[in-house]
Amino acid sequence: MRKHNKVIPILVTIFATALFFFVLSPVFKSEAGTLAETYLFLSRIQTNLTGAGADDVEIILAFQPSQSFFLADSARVDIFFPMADNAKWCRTAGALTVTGVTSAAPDVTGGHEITAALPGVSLVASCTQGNGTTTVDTISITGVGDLVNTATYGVKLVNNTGILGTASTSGSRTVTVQVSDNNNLDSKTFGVYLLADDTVEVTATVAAAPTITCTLSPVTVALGTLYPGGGLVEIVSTGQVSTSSTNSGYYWAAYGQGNGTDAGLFYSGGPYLISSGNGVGTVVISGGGSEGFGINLSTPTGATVPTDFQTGIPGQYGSLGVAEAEARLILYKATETSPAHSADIYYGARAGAGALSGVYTEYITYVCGGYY
Amino acid sequence: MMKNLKRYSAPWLNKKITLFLAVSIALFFAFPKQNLFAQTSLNIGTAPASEKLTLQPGEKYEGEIVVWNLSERTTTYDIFVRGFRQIENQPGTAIMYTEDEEERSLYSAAPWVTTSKQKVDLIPNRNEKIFYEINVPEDATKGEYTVIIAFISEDVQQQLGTTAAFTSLSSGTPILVKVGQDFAENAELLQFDTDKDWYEEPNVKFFTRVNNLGDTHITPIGEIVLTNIFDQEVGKIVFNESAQSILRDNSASYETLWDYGSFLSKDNKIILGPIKADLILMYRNFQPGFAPLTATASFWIIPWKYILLLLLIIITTMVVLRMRKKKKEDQPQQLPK
Repeated sequence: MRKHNKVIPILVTIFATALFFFVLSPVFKSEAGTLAETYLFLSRIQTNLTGAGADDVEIILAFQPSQSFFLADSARVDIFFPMADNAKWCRTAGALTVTGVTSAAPDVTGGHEITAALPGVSLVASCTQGNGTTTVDTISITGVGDLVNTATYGVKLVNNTGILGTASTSGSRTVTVQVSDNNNLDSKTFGVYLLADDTVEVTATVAAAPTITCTLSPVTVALGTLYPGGGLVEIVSTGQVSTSSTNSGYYWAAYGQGNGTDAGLFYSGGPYLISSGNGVGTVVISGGGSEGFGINLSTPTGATVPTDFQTGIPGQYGSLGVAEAEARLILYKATETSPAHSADIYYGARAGAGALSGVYTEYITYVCGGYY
Repeated sequence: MMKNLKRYSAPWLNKKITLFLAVSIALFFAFPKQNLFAQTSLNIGTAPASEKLTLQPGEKYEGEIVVWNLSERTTTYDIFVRGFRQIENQPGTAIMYTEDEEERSLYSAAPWVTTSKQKVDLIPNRNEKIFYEINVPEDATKGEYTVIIAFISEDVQQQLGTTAAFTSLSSGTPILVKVGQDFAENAELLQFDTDKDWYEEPNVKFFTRVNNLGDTHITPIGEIVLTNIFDQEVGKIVFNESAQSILRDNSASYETLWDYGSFLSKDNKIILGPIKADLILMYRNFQPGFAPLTATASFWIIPWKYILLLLLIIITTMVVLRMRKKKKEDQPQQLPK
């Protein structure tokens, strides 16, 4: 019995309290919903940003209400940060610059996409610090205009004078976004992930080492038809070699293949070689009945073409050697070359009266290098 | 009349057009397209342009060469590793040995070198790295060895049906490997001269030929000092400004140009008449000042056109003055009134 005597007053008290709440508390009709298409886009996701100068933080919030909210009912938007981050997101209490935005970087067409700027004749935003025990850091936007549930609203919050910062703890931080007016309330809670360092430093070094870039174009030069005992054929290949180099300068050398013994235009079916001489001096094919093959080069300004390969004497061409062992220097410059130098190559050929008819070819290798 | 009508009738024209098209198509396929110049281009860039290393017997060195292709098509290059020599006594140049030369060479470092690839496809506008490793044998004798990692475009083996020159592009990175320490650096001056004995203006080309007698490459540097007839310094030219080197057992010719463009030096010394050029160059790494190479050459600067013009002016003036004087003398003197 004694036990029952103790329980009865407790039950009475609970019942009385419940009755008090249901009967005496003010009537409050409220509809709560969940925000859709919500994201919080932070310009920086590094921990411990102070919000000043280089540590400036900007926030873009996107959300789609599940119901309508009205300016007349004091529509507002609040962002609540974790209790543990007290005085970190709001480094100091104060006003923020708030602007409705119609797009932001995270927008995905047909997905999370801002479709309208947050309305409001005079939007006002402020950052309020929590006290660490009962209140949290909060960003509040007031003066919000009428909101409908078919639009995704975007709003940007900016301050670079040490108000808006970030938490000091890395990892996921739980943030709640709440849209409300005097009658309704929508909210959504999600995580914002902070990193100890959100900046990737990309470095590249432009090499100080000498470099050289060489171009050979075109790679095939057709000399047309030569007639036994006929005239000299000269074909100019404009800008066939070009070079740019850093401080080491450049040089070009050339050698042919010919018949393997001497360079020149070779007809393997004969066999017959329209020789380029012995890789020394010049080949002179200006006179009637002469035969030979050689090349000349135009001289780019500041560069040097060795005498044997210079243009100027009709019918005289530089003799090509065979293989690397007889490579001949055809063009050089000892200092930095930029923009690129370009030289024309003149191919001269003449078939003697005894030349066999057929297709003649020569394979010339142009060697390009920088000085050591 | 009917015949003429038939000529211009639609079936007749159709037949002709069909025949023309058939012949055109047959010709198109029968003969490959030929350009006078096939507009294909080859391009290769390399870095570094050269490498100079000092290694010890038994040492391993790992390096890389970066190559790129700025043409519009992918090009395959064969990679050759061979010793090299200078081209036609030109300092600082390199042409790889032929296979025969490689076999005979005493100072080729090619057998010590391995590359990460033997062939490389160079995609346009992208860098490609070729890694190489040099393993100096334990018993390598002291001295300098050379090797070039050369890239040669694969042959364009095609027939144009006419006389033609087909070309390939070759480039590479020459590597000079010094093995050991305390190298013998020795050189001699074979020539120091000008291309002419006299010039109209200070535009002089100096030829210098140096022979390397040591067991390592040398890089002769120095200056040419120019003095006039009054022994006043009128100019100073840097010799081998781009520091081109001469390989061991090689000689090399250097061209130095003095193109001043004025007959007065910066401190208003006259650059006319006989000019003396004193060459002093150094080539040793260790205490270079103890073994300079020196030589003297001389030439004249005679601006004969200016001199002739001046003489003409003087002569003309003298003639005019004399004529005036004579005229005055020939005038009859007035009799005193």
